[in-house]
Amino acid sequence: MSEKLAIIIASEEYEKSHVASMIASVAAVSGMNVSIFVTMNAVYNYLKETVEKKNFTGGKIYEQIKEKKSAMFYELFYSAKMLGDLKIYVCSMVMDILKIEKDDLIDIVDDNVGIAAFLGIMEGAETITF
Amino acid sequence: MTEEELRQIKPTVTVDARGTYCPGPLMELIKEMRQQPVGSTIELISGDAGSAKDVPEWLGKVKQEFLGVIPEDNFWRIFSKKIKDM
Repeated sequence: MSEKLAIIIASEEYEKSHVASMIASVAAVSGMNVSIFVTMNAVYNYLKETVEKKNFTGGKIYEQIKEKKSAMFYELFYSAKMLGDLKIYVCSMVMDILKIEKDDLIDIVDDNVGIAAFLGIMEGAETITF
Repeated sequence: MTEEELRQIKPTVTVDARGTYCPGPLMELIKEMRQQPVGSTIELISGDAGSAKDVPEWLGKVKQEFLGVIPEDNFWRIFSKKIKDM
């Protein structure tokens, strides 16, 4: 297994961020260097406003996660960051288009980057796309 | 270890992670293992069926010791030992 894992999340579907956060958590606590790139419609799920209002776009499993009061994707990312090497980057192009600042994003986001920067970060990494 | 031997273990600490979903129990174990000194035995109680397979896999990867699992009615008791710093 590669020691680096890169996950690209482009979909606004809640479940995709959730499974990404599960995989990222276990990889990070197993000693892998994990980088997440949040882009396109997925960016909406990382806005403070969306998280505060729990205004996610999700399906049947999202409804169950809420009902069972299971940890949400941003909580899983948060504990993974405490326990391992995990960084979350948001696409700067989408931020430009939506006219959002880093302050509009939830605190687990480390930075905003462009494609060239993320390509550098994910060099040599195993990559998963959601 | 046999189930008999596992039942004799007096763990340094027991982490009850019932009520959390995958990967919750594993994350709870890791948090505890970080805090405990080398030589500690940790019992993880999990209601998540995946944990009995997930935990030994993770312990193997980070080179900590897996002692065994006791399956109970609705949960699993998973024993591990911290054998090196992490």
